[in-house]
Amino acid sequence: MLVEKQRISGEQLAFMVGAQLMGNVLLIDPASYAGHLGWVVSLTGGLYALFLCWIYNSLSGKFPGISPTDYAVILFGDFLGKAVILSHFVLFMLSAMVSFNDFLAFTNLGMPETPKIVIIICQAVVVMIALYLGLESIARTTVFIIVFSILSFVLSTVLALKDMDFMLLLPLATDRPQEFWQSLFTVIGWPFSQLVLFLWFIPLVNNPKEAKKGLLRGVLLGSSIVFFASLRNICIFGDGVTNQLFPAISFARNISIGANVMRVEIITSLTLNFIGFVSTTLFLYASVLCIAQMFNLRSHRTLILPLFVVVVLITSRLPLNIALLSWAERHFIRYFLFIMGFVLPVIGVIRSFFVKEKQGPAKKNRSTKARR
Amino acid sequence: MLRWIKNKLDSLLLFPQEDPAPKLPPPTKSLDQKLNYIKSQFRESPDVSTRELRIGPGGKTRAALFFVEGMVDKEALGIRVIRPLVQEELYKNIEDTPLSYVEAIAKHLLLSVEVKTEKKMHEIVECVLQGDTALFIDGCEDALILGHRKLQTRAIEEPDSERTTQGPRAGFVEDVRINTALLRQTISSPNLVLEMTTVGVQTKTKICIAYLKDIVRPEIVAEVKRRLNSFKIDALITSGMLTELISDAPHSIFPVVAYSERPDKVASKILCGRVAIIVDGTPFVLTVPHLFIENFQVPSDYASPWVFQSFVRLLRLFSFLVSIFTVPFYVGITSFHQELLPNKLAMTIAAARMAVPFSAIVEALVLAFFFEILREASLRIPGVAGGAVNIVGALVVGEAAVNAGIVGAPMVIAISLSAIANFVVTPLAESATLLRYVFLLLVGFMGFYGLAYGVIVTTLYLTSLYSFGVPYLSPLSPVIPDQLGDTVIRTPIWNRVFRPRQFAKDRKRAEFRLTHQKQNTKDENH
Repeated sequence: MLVEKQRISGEQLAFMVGAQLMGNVLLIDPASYAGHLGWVVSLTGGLYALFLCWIYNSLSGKFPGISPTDYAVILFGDFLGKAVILSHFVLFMLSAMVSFNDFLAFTNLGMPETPKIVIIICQAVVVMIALYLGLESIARTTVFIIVFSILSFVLSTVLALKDMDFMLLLPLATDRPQEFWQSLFTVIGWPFSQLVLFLWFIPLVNNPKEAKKGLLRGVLLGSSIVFFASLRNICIFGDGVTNQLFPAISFARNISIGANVMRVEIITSLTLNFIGFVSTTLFLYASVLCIAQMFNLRSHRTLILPLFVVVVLITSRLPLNIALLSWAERHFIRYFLFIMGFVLPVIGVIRSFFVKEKQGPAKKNRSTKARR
Repeated sequence: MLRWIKNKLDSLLLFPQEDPAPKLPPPTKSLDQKLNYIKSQFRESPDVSTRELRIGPGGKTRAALFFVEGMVDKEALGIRVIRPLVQEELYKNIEDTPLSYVEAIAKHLLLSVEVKTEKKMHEIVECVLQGDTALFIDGCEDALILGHRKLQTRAIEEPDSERTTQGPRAGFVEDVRINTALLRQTISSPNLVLEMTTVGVQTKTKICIAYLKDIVRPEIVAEVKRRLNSFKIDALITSGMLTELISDAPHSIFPVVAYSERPDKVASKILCGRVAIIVDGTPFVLTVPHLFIENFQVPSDYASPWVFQSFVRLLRLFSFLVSIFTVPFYVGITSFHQELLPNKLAMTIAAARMAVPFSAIVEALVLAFFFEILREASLRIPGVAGGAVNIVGALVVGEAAVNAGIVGAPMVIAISLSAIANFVVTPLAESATLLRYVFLLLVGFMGFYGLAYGVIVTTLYLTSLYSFGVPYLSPLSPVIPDQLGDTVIRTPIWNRVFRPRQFAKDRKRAEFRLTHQKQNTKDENH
C-alpha cells in the first residue's frame, strides 16, 4: 500500500534527482577531496550513478506500484526486510541532518551574529511546510529551483571563463594514488549512493515507464552538473580547491568583469539555499514515508510535528564543525551509504529473480490488497 | 467538534429549518383576492403599482396589471398591452380558439415579445420585482408575465481599469442581458451556452454561466455549477463576493478566479475552454479556471508584433518582481550585507543615511505604510482634491521628510520604484503589496537568507494552489511544453495551434498553411 496519495510525473522526478545531486555537490565539490583530478572522480562517479540508475530501475520495475517497504519484506523476509527499511530511515535522517548542518554552517558564515537555533528553526519551518504541502508541491517547486540553479551555474561559469586555466586539469597521473581512490570512494558514497532515496519516489510516478526515463534523465542532468562544477572549480583554483570550504562561493567571489559585474556570490548563495532546501526536504520526506509505510499510517502528515522537534533538537546539538563532520563522513557515513545505496539494492535485484517466481502469487495478493 | 457546533448554530440562526416565508394564498381565480394579497404585501412600497382594466367584449371582464414603477417601459405597455386588451373587435379572433382564455389573449391579442404564463403567486411577485409586468384576469387562475423592462443602464464604454492602446473599446455594464449580448456578438457560435441561475435569498441575483460546449471540459462546467449551488446567502451584490464563495483557496493572497470588464478578453478566455460567470449588477465578469500566468497577459499583447510584446511581457514580469523585492533588497543590503555593494555606492548610501535616526527596516516599514495611506486616500478623495493630496503627499511630505533627516533619499527612491512597478501588473497589485511587507519583515529578521526562505515558501504555496482543479502555476510547473509559448514570452500566433489541455477537451484551435507557419500539429494527448 502506498501511503502517499499524490503523484508526480517522470520529468518532475528527473528534476528532483538532478537537484539532489546538484545540492550536495555545489556545497561540497568532489574536487575538494581529489584536487586537480576531481573531474576524473566526478566522471567516474557519474558512470557509477548510471549503473545505480539501472539497478534501481530494475528493482522497482520488478515491483511496479509497490512501496519499498512491501518489496523489502518480499525480498528479505519479514524481519530482515523491516530491518532494511529501518536502516533506510536511519540513513535518510542522518543524511538530512548532515545536509541540514552543512547549510547551517553556510548560513552561519553570512550571519555570524544570529544565534544558531534561530537559523535552525527557520530552516526547519520551511522544510516542514514543504512536507505538509506534499510531494506535488515539492516536485513543482523543484522545477523552478533547478531552472534558477542551472541559469545561475551557467551564468557564473560564463562570466569566469576568462580566468579559467584548463592546463590546471593536468597532469592526469597523480603521485598520491591512495588519496585519489579514497576520494573516489567518498564521492561514490556522497552524493551518488544517496540516489537510493529515489527508490521511495519511483512508485509515486504516474507512469512506471516515465519513472525509468525520469531517473535516467535526472542522473544524467545531475552528473553533468557535478562534472562541470568540478571542472570549472579546478580550472580556477587548481589543486588549491582542496583548501576551499565552499568552492562554489569562492568561485563566484572571484568574478569581476570590468568592475561592473561583481559580487555574483549573492546569486550563488541564493542558489545554494534553494538547492539545499530541496536536498534536505527530500531526505526528510523519504524518512517520514519510511515510518508511515512501516506502520501503515493513514498519512505522513501526522509525523511532521514530531519530526520538526527531532530535527531541531538534534541539529542544535550537532557541532558546526565541518572538520568533524568530514571525519565522520570518511570513517562511517560513506561505508553506510555504499552498503545501503549499492550492496543491498544489488542483492535485492538478484533475489528478485528467484523470489518473484517463488512468491509470485503472494506478491499478487499483496498488490491487490494494496489497491483496495 | 467546536467548528461543527458553530456551523450548526450558524446554519440554524441564518437559515432556520422552518422557512418563515409569508403565507401564500392558494391558487385562486378571483382577481380581488390576488390584488388584496399584493396590497397587503406591498403596503409600504409606493413604487409597486397596480392598474385595473375592463377588457373583453362590452368591457365585462376585470383585469389588472401589476408592475414596479421605474422598471417597466410604460409606453410599450400602453401600446402593446393595454390598447389591444381594450379593443373589443380584436376579441372576435379568439372566440373559436381551443386555447384557454389567458393563452388565447397571449397568442392572439398581445403584441409583447416576451410572454409566459405563471400560476404561483411567489413566482409572479419575483418576476415583477425583477422588472416584468404581470397581467391578472378575473376568473383565470394563470397570470401572464410580460417582459417590458426598461432598466436604467449606463452606456457601453471602455472600462477605466483595463484600457488598451489597440483593440475594441467596449466594456461590460451592470445588466446581465446586455453582457450576454456582448458575448454573443463576439462569439457567434451555436455552441455558446448561456445558462441562467439565481443566487441570494433576498437579492435573487441573476447569474449567467457562459461556455462553449464543444470545447470546455464537462467536469469543469459541472464543478462550477456544483460550487454555485453549494451555498445559500442572503445577498450577492458584487462578483467579488462570489469569488470568495466559489474559490478553491478563499484565504489565498493570489487571485485564483479572474475577472475582467472587457468582452473581448472574456470571449478569448471562453474560446480557450474556460467558463465565464456573469453576475447581474456588476460589470466584472469572472472566468475560471484562472492561471497565475494570466495575470501578466493583456488583450493588447495580441494586437502588435510578437517580438515587442514578448519584451513587454518580460517587462511586466520584471516589474512584478521589482514591486516585491526592491525595498526588501535595499533593507537587506544596508542592514546585513553591505559587503555586496561596490565601494562608491556603499559610501553614497551611507552618506544619505547618516542623519537618519531609524534602522533601515523601521524606515522602510514606516515609509511603505504611509505610502499605502496616501494611495488609499487618493482613491477615496473626490477627483479634484485627490490630485492635491498626491502632490502634498509625494512632493511636499516626501521632500520635507528627507530634508529633515527622518528618512533617507535612497529609501524614498526604493519605495517609489516599487509603488510604480506595483501598478504594472494590476491583478497582482494586492498580492505584491502584502508580499512586500512579508519579505521586508523576513529580511529585517534574517537578511537575504530570510528572503530566500520567503521565496521558497511562496513558491511552495503557489505550487499547492489549484483553480477549479487546474494547477495554478501550470503550464510553468507542472511543465506543459506546448503551452510555454504564451507564458513569459509570447510567440507568434501560428505557433500556438492547441488550446490549453488543462481545460479544453477539443484542443486544436487553428491550422496554418503558409510555409513559415507550418508547425508540427501532432498532439500527443489528443
